Amino acid sequence: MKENDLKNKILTIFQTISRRTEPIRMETNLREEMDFDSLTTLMAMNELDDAFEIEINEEDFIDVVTAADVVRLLRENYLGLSAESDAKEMANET
Amino acid sequence: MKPEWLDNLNIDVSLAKKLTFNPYYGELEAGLGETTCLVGKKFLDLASNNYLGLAGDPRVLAAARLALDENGLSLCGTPIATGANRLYNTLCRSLERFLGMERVLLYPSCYQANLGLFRALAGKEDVTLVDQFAHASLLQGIAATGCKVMPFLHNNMEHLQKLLGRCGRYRRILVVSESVFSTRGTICPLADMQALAEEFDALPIIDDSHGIGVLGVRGRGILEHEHVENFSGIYTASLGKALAGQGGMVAASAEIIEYLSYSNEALIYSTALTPPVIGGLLEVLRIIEEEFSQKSKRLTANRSQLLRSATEAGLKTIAGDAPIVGVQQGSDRATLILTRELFKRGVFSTPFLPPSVPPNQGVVRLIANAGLSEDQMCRASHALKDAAEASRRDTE
Repeated sequence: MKENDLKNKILTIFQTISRRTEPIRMETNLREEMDFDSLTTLMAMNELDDAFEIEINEEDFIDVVTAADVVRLLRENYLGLSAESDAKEMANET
Repeated sequence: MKPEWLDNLNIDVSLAKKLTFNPYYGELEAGLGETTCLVGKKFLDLASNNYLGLAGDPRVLAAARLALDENGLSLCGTPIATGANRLYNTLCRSLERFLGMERVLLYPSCYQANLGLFRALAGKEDVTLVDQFAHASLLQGIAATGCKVMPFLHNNMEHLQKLLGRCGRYRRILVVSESVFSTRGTICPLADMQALAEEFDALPIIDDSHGIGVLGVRGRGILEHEHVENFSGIYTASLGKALAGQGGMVAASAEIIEYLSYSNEALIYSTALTPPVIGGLLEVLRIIEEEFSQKSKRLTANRSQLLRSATEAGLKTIAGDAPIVGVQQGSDRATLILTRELFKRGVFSTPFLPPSVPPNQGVVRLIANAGLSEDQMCRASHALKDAAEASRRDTE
């Protein structure tokens, strides 16, 4: 999966379940800026599980602060993608 | 010397100190009536859940006294032992008829009913789908089971349907919501929720604490409001809101109630509701049968006036259909300031701060009960406008 597709998919999920209308960016603090509480976070995890056909461990989500953290977590721990492979992919595209 | 472990039991009350106002645990000098007394002053009660204004009704008090005289203060036992006397069982049968449900169990509180219910029904092999704004007692009850939890977007049946489609691998599927959401006044589309539960072979569970005695043309609650007949799920409710008593209830089919009555620790190990409370509740049910239409009109009129006043005062309200006006203040500070300004003007309201609401979504809840007169509502409206203005000045 391309880095941008991954990011867009994650941002779309967060935007759908967020009660706020402001657009979510990669550096948005989910709790402080988007008012994510424990249930919203759980909802996000369930949606990510479904969208990527994975099963996220709740403990892995404890340190998540921004959408970028989620991208990193999924890429490295669940989808077997590395930042290096993304860079190569991007280089090939250009 | 203070033990070291006490250092970990800190509650941050700095904001209350800064605002020189703590709205919690205010000491009422007597019961609820036309006015409520605190700190030597008379207040208009927009805080309690006394929707129909029956908590101080002389007929209810007389029935409670009679039950006290005939049955004593307490049965000093759990329902499974000495707690279920004839009066107790009469209330169960009355509630069954009132709701049109097969069987009812009584609990010391709805909080306890909700906590105990899920432990008796679900485990690790099961999944619970729950509205994201469901009451803490439901969430805590669900969490205690260790089951998979899937919150769905508030009152969003499309999202619920999507999630139900992913639940095939679980042993049992529970779908949980509240009838009236207590800080928003929004109402669950129960008929749709029940239809989805049937389609996916799930068990619907509805907490009607803010709906019983309020919703429906005869005050029978969410089942009547949503025209749900033969409800196949589990119904819980508080008896301490519109019904003006105390305790909680679970209603369901005879099979489920039979199971719960021997397996639910929250019921088995709790002292039964006391005779005066039960006597009062029976009279409340009788009054609702006869006078609901008139009280409901008053309740609706008061709610409309309050909502209009809040809007005219420039406050941001949550547009629910139930007689709850939720004023969205956002920050903890703004929420407490509006509560304080209302308090200064003789209006008692309820502020909701996290974790009762999500972060930065503080709400001041106002309930204009049916016992408030037109004159009192006028005073409440003026106070609301003044308080909103003062609150804005202080928050800026």
